[in-house]
Amino acid sequence: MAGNSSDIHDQLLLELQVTRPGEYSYRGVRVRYRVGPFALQAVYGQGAWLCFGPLPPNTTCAEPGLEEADQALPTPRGTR
Amino acid sequence: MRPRWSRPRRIGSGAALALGALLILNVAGVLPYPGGPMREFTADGPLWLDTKPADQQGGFEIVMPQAAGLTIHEVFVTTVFLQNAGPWEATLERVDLVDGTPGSRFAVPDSGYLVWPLPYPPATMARPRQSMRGIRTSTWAPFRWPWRATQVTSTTSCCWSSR
Repeated sequence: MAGNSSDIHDQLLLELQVTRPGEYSYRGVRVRYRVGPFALQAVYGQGAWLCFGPLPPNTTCAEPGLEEADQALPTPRGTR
Repeated sequence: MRPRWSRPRRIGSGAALALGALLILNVAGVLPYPGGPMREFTADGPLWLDTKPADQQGGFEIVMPQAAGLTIHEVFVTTVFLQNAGPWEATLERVDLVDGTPGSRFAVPDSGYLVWPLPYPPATMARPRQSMRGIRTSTWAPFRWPWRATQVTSTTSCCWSSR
């Protein structure tokens, strides 16, 4: 990725692959990269909670309520 | 027995050794630096000192409940908006999930996805299938003065593709 770049082409498109039905979540995306010989990382604060079907009979995803989903979010200090 | 080196020299040598060890670990990829030129689109710190956790810089979360009807035969697609604020070329090495559920992983798709129009903030997309029910997104603003975050929760339509 070239220096001083931030246009629309600098988007990384990612697929989330899962193997079994059920609940899946993540809190962010970690990108490891190098500048010259040096290793660096950036953590992007974009998470998801997903329910993948088809679920087995009599099974449901424990859908987080809004309050629960909010609690799952990283919360900056001093906001609660 | 007198010490061979003076105290300032010992301290300086120790610091140099520690710095050298950190550099070796960094180049080996064991200890990546948490700041740098490629960073969150909400980053607000100085370039190399921008080591604040992402949760203090804003972000978003999407919730797709069971009612959304997502199946394992479909692909959840998300984008990361990359910004290289430095003048040096950066090489991507690896992308992975933070606190991801076991059994899930990211893959970089080969090609063929339509990435337009661009949502803001970057969200899930691919080929539109149908409107879904119950999808929620939460966005919270960067952590800035007066030290309060603004969080907005809303429903949205979202798209993904069939395998």
